[in-house]
Amino acid sequence: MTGIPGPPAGHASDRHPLSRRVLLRRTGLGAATVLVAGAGVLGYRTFDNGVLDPGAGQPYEPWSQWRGDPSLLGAVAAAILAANPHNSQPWVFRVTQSTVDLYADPARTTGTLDPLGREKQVGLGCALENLVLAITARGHGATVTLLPDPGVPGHMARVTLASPGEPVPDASLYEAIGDRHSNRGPYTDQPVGPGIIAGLTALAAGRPEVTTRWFPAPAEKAALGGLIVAATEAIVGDRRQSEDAFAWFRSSRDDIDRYRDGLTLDGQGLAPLTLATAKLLPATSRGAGDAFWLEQTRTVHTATAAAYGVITVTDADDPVQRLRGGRLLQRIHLAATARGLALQHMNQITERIDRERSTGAAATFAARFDDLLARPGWRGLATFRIGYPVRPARLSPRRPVSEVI
Amino acid sequence: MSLPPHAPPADRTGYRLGWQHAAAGLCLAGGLLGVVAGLVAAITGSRIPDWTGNKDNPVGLGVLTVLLSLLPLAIAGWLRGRTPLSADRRAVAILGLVAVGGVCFTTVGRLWYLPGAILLVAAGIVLASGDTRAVWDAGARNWLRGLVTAVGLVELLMAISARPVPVAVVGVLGGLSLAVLPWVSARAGLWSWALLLAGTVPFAGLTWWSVSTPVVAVLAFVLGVLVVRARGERPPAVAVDATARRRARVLLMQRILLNPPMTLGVLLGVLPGHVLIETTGRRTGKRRRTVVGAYREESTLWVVAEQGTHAGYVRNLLDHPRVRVRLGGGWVPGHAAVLPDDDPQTRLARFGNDRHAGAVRRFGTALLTVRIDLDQPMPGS
Repeated sequence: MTGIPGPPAGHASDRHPLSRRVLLRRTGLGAATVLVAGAGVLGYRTFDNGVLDPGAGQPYEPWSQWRGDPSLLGAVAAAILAANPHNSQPWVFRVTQSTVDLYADPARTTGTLDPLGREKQVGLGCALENLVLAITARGHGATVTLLPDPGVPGHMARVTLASPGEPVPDASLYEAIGDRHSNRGPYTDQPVGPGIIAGLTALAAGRPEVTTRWFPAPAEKAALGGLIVAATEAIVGDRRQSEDAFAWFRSSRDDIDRYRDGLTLDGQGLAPLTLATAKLLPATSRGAGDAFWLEQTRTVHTATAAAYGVITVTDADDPVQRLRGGRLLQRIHLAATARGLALQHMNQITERIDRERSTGAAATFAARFDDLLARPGWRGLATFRIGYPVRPARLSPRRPVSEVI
Repeated sequence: MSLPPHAPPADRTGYRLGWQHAAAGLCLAGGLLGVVAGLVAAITGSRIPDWTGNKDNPVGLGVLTVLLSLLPLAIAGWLRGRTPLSADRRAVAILGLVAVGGVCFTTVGRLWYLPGAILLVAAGIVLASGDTRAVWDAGARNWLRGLVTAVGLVELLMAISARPVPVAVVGVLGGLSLAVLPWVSARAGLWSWALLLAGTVPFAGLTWWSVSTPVVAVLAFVLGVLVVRARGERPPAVAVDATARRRARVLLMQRILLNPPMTLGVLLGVLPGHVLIETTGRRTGKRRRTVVGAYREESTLWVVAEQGTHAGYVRNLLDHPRVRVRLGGGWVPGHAAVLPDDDPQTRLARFGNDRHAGAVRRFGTALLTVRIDLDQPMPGS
């Protein structure tokens, strides 16, 4: 077959090479632009949510500025670093030349999680312990009067300066104030030796109505851990309690900067990669947060606890015993910190006991808790786990002294 | 509007050089006001939150604003030149002014109202100063480079929030490296790879656990590789030409290592066979001094330029033939001309300086004879 040679019948793309190239190039550039825009969002989220500056900025400054001031205000700066329920910081101080008064802040409550005010008063006891340690470290004696004014129910304590007291028996407690944090991360399998537990128990000396019940043995530990998980499930299943817990969670850096209180992602003891991812992702819903908390309680908190401790008192409803129990709890936490131990407060059981009491519901936890304590005449006031940490705890935000006086 | 004495080249008719210079003034004003705004926010931001946008981190944002405000100042330097900017540079200038002018409204609040408005107006003037379509084309051509710079700015944003401070410094330097990477000249060669690595590896390595910095670094690296390689392929392919690459290396080495001590030697009179010649910058109009090997015949000075018209001073004297030569402790004016028909090898041989001739032959890539007729005969010549 012959014919006039025409243009080769090539592939379509050969006839329009330029347009295909241009199309490919534009598609590539478009995709790259989308990716860069995504990187921009990621970068802004990193910047905005403080992913790269854990524990930096004004909400965390009280942790580094609590020693400098030799006055009583400086002692308050140490008091505000105490353990307290959900980092609600429910305290107000009145400072004069020779006294510091400690009041409960009626506006700062954790609602149905603490309907009888137990945790709040324990937390105020913790602050009182720090306050006394800081005053004695400043060379003063300190006389503590609990509930000094029965006509003012929120007036929890008055600390009056006295002539220089005896030297602080264990200065390491005061020194540990700035390093004490709740460590919600995993603990190693290293046991806490009986000598250490005996030393922590001895911190209650001189207060016969306040003691510590320890759970270092595997069987007892597992039983208490199981009850804690059950209580956590009950809290998550109780819409009001879940909402009240969620109200104290600060998921964004903006909220942390604004409120300087509450629980944060930094405080959850997460691995660095997990923590950064959590900060980059949008804030979790209440339901997702509850599920995460329950999972952590089951697989980390109870699973890696080297031992539990329960502060026990003869009357858990007595404000005086709550304050004294809080002081002991803070001393134990400080002493544990000084020994390189980590501690996490785990009050789910008592939160359920008080919730059931306040609503008139059937008491499903009180009897089981009493059985585990196995100390007739004593009641559990506050529970914690203890152990050697896998990673250090991060700082919690704190309101400055100027906001609490 | 009055035009400067130099008329624009024919291919850029309609270009309003006066507008460009007006934009330069606005860039300078806006940039300086921006620096002041950043400093005020960084130093007193927490005391005047209403003016600085109620920021929780006024120090970091103030420092970022100061850094970003340096860009309009650099752009002002471009715009002040005596010749119209290329469409590429105008596109970059507009992008830079709009980006900085816009972004900083979110960093220092009301303090940015004035500098921001000035910079945005300046961007509009740059766009209006010449062919608008050419600017859009240039924008499309430089899109990839712009993306790399954008990723660099993202890294900068993350870096200023990082702690401890040394990590933040590493991040800021990395972000700046990425931001300038696409715009440094092809002469950067291996340096552009160094910039790319500096912009991606150290900060992401130090903060690998953050998820975001490694992700951004990977994206920056991929886009950066495309940009660095694409620059070599762009016509005219200066960088892929072996001779051109050698020339770029020689010029860089001369500029950094050889010229400063040789200039000093000439000024001190301890470097025979060399003179300083002073040309007028073809783009800037500024005085440029270059040390060259030379041979004098009465009132004529002969120079063999190693890199021919690739040397800046030769291109300068092509545009502005009036030059000055440092001779005998004083400056002597003269008229320079290139002689492309002259045989540079023969000319070099007549210098009678074998060492100089050897160096020129060894390092030269495009020898070219330059003749300078001095206005006054030199005594003792």
